[in-house]
Amino acid sequence: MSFDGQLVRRPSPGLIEVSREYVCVRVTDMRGVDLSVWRFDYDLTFAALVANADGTLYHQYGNRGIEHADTHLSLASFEALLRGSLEDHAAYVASKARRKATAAETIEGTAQMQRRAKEGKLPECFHCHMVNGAHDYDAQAAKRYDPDSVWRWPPSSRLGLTLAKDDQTLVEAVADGSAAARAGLAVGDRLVRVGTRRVRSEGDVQWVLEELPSKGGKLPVVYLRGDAERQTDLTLAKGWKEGTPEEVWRNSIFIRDPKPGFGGPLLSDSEKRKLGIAADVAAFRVNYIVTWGEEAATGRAAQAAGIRKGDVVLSVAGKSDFLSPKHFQSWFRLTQKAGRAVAIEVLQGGEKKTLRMTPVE
Amino acid sequence: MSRRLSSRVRAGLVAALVLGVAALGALFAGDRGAAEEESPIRWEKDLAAATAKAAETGRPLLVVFR
Repeated sequence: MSFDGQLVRRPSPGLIEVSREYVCVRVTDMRGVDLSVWRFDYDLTFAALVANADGTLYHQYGNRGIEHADTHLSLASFEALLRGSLEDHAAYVASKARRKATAAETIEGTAQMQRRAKEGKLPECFHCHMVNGAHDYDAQAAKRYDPDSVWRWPPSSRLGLTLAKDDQTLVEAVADGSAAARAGLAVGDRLVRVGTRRVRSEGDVQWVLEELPSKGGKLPVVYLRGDAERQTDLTLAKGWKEGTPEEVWRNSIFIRDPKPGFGGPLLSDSEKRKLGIAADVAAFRVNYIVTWGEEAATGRAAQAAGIRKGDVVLSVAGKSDFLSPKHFQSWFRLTQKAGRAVAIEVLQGGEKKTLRMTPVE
Repeated sequence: MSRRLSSRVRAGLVAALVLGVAALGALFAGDRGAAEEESPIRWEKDLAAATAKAAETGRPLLVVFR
């Protein structure tokens, strides 16, 4: 059962109890939702915000692993977030602060959805991930698409921190040589504040990181070691938000150039045996070449290089360890350059060939 | 005759497809909405109404986006 299924159908007694302190609402359609208020990682399949009625966001919950949407979610850490947030709500109410109104922004107002409305092609339901899709589409159309948007909402691992799934302010591991390690953070420390934000979940840490520039800088962190509160500064290097092709799970990667213009499924072990391909080669069969739509030039570049449907790709630029079709697509976009030829080794009609393709934008 | 049979086969396939899609939809809705009625947690379904209720009662909002 998914995390959301557990939350709705089988919440723990503690969660049921603390939920009574809240007005709980589930949103399954982003139509009409004011994005200037309800800002979160829209690519997630599950996200929760704790907020005041005036739109002040206290905390966020929800993130995901590369491998699965639910790997970092737990009822225990969600309950802890809700209990802690009650203190923050009480403090906010006592402060008599009020959020300043912002200009409303909706997914229906994006250029992509306006165009689809004119064509009579609006979806029946606006899913959360469509928000980033619409924003990326608009940015691309206006020629201001940021290729680094694939690294939006960086995880705490980008700092070198692994936080416990069931207790998400607790440091479970610190990567050697990372910004967190250099700043002196250690296993067992408990995060209190990151930047200017009180954190109660890994989602909160990502919220802070999302707002930091990728050019790097200092990030102050307040934490508990035992009962003692300490402070340190993490030094973030230029480009710190970037991950590796293996870490890409967002579909926004598909917008990024250069595109290979072809792809297909990995061969099974038995298929590889029949073709005499070593088991450790992640060969894949070309089952599509993009010769349609706005990206047709990418497929034409592949065709010009000699790539045909049905070819078995053995390596690209010498790389033959792709984990999945998406990994190949991500790796190509993140490592190759338009106008620079790349060697592609294929089996074509039983014959091994090395083709040279020059990707286009 | 064979043409009538193939149209029946086609109709049957279409019906099976529709039923399959409906069944998948119901399964999906189980997580997205229908199960809320049976949840031990009281879930509102309308964000604006929930916000108004939070303002009226002074309680914080828990907004799940699914």
